[in-house]
Amino acid sequence: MTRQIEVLTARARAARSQAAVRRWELRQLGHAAGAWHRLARLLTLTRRAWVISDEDAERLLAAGHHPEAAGLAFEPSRRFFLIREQQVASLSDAQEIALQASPELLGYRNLALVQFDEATEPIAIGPRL
Amino acid sequence: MLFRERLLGSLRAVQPVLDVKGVLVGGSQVPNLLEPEAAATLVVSQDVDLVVPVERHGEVKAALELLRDYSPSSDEPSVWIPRSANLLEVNFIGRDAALTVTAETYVFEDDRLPLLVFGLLSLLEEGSTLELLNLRVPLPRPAGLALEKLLTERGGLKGERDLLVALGLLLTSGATDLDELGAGFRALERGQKDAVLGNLSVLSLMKRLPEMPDPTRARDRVARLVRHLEDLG
Repeated sequence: MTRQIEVLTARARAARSQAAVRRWELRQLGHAAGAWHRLARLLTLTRRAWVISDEDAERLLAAGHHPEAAGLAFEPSRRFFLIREQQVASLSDAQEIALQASPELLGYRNLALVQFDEATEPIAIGPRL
Repeated sequence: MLFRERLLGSLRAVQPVLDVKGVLVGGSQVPNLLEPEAAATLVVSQDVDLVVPVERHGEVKAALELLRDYSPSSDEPSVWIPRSANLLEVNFIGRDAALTVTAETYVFEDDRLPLLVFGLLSLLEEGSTLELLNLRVPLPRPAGLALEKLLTERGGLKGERDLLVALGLLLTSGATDLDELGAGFRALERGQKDAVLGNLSVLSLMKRLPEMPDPTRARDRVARLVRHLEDLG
């Protein structure tokens, strides 16, 4: 076997191993009743997010908002509220955060989320540029 | 020198290979070439992937003899190096339509042009031929390439790069491409569908990388695509 074929064979073996690891990772993410998948999905469908205080979270609860199951599945639980954008002004201490994967994103106890409006946006991805 | 000129110059230099039936440009240059007049503003990488059907390997090898501006790399199998810094490296990868297990990978052994053959590339279908400035560039249909990238098994920067290619395809796709993407998604196994949706989430929550398509500006499109694919099952 030439050195080049040896190199490629090693890469093919590595690619198959990587694929096996990724399948295992996906399976693990599907565990815990799919909590990680549900959290990722919730944040993917979210347009803007704010960190809110416990007091604001209690206010939203009192107003009839229910925290999303995706956050309650964690221990300690996270309270993620879906709100309308106009409601943000009524929250006393809301601080907008970037929706980017980070350890901090998982550390917030209370988040207010505004989702992309599925009812009013067309489904087509967009015109060819 | 503009990246577009380097890209088109590289493709011109490998035209004999591109003229072999079934050969496709793959990977990150496809969104660049799908832009109007191949504007190539969605730069993700500085090389060109050429997808070689294993059954056409002999014809591709013969075409390689016609290349004047490239020679095989002594270090990297399947990579051909340009003689000029104004051209991009070319990376040959193999496609075997008979591979039904998309996670499968094997080596097509050959002294002149060995290939890594990736099962995921079996998702590619021949699409349009870009004709521009006397160039004929065969491209894959965007939907199959997007699915291939969204099923990426890679982590780290390489995985992020693949997802940015998928983003570039979403930015240049139309309604027909979306329909094809949906049809391709429906045909996947459950685990693969989860992988596609999971990778769309990764893309949606990805930070912007310098001089790359900005994922934060396409989050709405990604969200709509996720809902659309979920509706399809």
